[in-house]
Amino acid sequence: MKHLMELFTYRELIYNLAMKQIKVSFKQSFLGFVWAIVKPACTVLILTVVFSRIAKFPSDGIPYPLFTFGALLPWTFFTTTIGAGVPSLVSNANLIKKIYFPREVLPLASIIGASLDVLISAAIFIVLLIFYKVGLTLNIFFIIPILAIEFLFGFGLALLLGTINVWYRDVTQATGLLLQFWMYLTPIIYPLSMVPEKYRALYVLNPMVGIVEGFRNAVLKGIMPDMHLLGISTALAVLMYLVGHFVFKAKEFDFVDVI
Amino acid sequence: MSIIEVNNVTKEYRLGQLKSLKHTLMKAFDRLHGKEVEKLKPFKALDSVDFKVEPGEVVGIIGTNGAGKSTLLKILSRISVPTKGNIKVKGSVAPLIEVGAGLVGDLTGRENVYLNGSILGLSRAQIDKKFDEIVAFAELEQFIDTPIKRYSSGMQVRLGFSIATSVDADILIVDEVLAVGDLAFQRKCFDRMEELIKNRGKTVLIVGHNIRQLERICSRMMLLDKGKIILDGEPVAICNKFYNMTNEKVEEKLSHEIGNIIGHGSSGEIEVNDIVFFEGDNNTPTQDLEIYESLRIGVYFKTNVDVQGIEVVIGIHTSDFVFITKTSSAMTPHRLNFPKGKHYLECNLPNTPLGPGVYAIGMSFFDQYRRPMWYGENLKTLRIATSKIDMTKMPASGLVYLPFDWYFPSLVKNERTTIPPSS
Repeated sequence: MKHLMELFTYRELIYNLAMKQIKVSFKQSFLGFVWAIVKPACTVLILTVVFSRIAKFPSDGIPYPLFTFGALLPWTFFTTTIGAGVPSLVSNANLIKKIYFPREVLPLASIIGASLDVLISAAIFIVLLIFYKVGLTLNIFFIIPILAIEFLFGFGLALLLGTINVWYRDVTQATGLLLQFWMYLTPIIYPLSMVPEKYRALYVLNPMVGIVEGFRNAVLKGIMPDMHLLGISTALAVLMYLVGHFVFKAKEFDFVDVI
Repeated sequence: MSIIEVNNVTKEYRLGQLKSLKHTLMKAFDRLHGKEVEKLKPFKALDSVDFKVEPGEVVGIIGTNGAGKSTLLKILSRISVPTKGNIKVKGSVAPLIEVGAGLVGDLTGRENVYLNGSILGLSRAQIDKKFDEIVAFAELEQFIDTPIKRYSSGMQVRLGFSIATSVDADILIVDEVLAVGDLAFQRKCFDRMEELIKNRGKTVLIVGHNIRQLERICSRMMLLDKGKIILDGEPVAICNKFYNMTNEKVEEKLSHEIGNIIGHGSSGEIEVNDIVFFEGDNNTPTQDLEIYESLRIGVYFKTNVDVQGIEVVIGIHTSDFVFITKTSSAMTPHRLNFPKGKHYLECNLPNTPLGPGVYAIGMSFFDQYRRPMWYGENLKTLRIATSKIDMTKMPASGLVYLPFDWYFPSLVKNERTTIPPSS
């Protein structure tokens, strides 16, 4: 609680650091934020061609681009959280060495700054929803708690990996690889129903399953998320956050000596 | 009520390089199996440091490289935590640990003012209010909307300094920031620091190597050595002790080179064998001289070839290489032709007006075309003492004490008082 209060007093710093990240990423770039549109659009196009047209993956009766985008969006939010949060301490070493502020400010600001791209992707997704005339139901509001759980999980993991990354830079490299594997262990390009029944119990221990599946169902099918799956995700997210926070706080003051 | 309390603070670092993940895991594995694991030796950057600072004090922290000065400032500004002991700080702290930390090249000057201001703990409203002042002080009005990677390094540093010193805090922590930018800006920085300190009554801790500047603005000084505070007190006294200590080290080094003095450059035609000092008419060499006594500098040298029309220059500098004076044999009517062999020369300075402290001799030989044949600095040290002069009546600082005349016509007619009193 005390940490949260202190973090609140540093909200302007978080805002300014996030804005810095956004500004810097668009400086000296001719197309600027157009890239944030082109990249997810191309990914969806490629996935559709490869997995729907060529490999003929089923998609629960939903048009495949919509089906895969509906999962890719929450997934991208997760990879962005990890991708921006983990290296944020090392890349801001000069600040850590010179000035005091609560160190969570750095991963938090990086994640917020990087999430703009996700927001732009979301805008394309909305365009796609309108194009395919998807009927929304009140269940759409489930995406709010789902995204909150996802953030808690991603932030906790980013705190943990970010801390280890201060000691061993290998983590940044390994994370990229881990996320690639992780994507295939999450129902993004294929439906959950394609996972063989006998592996299902093990498969759903991946907290991203409940999150991605819940998000896609709430938006595209207009149905309530599977509470059993989401329950597993929530429990693991809380656990992940507590572990990440604990490790981060325990090591926070050693960063300056090893970074 | 002390504003800063440092209680028995020790900071240890582990020496050696952090090895790979594999190395760490193997060691953890060995430890689990009860094997002996070689431990890295801790290095004490600070060793049981204990002091208090009262509000309004301006404390300068000096010491040789690696004495623990920056570690101490880092602990005081909460960047680092002590291994043992604790600190208590009452009031807000503005850490000027290094000017320009966190400036971003791709952002404009304006954007950087806001970003850096918030890094240093200023709110948006506060920066809005101070914005014009910050820009004006940095003299960057024209360039404030240009990305700062297009700035010269001096301009970046000016911006950094200007933002950093606009922070309002009870305690300022400064590390080597006084000398930034060109000479004119350095002057401005120094004035700003003095203004912050003297007019606004802030408590300040400064670490620096420019000891003369520190001596001027500090009300108290601490000398750190190998992580311990070995001296703490009034600036002039501490500085002099520091010079003496630095000097003893230099002397130690020099005393290993008995018989020949090693210059910094030599063409081989001339060697300097010894430099000696005499006080007045006394012919016993000494390294201690009373202020206003005459100083004779004797030089034993050897020419390896016949030399024609050479010039000898002798200079005096402080132990931190502030040059005070030089004299050249070219000002004498003599033409200096030395045949190959050993020679001696003497140079006399009557009424030596050097203030108390430690000085050293620099010397060079030139041939008739002013090509250097031999030169060196810090060749031999000289201590000036002031047992004859009442120091309580002397100004506390300054390098040379010139013989001024004082004249008070309405009090004493036709009588001048000369300092020193002519005996």
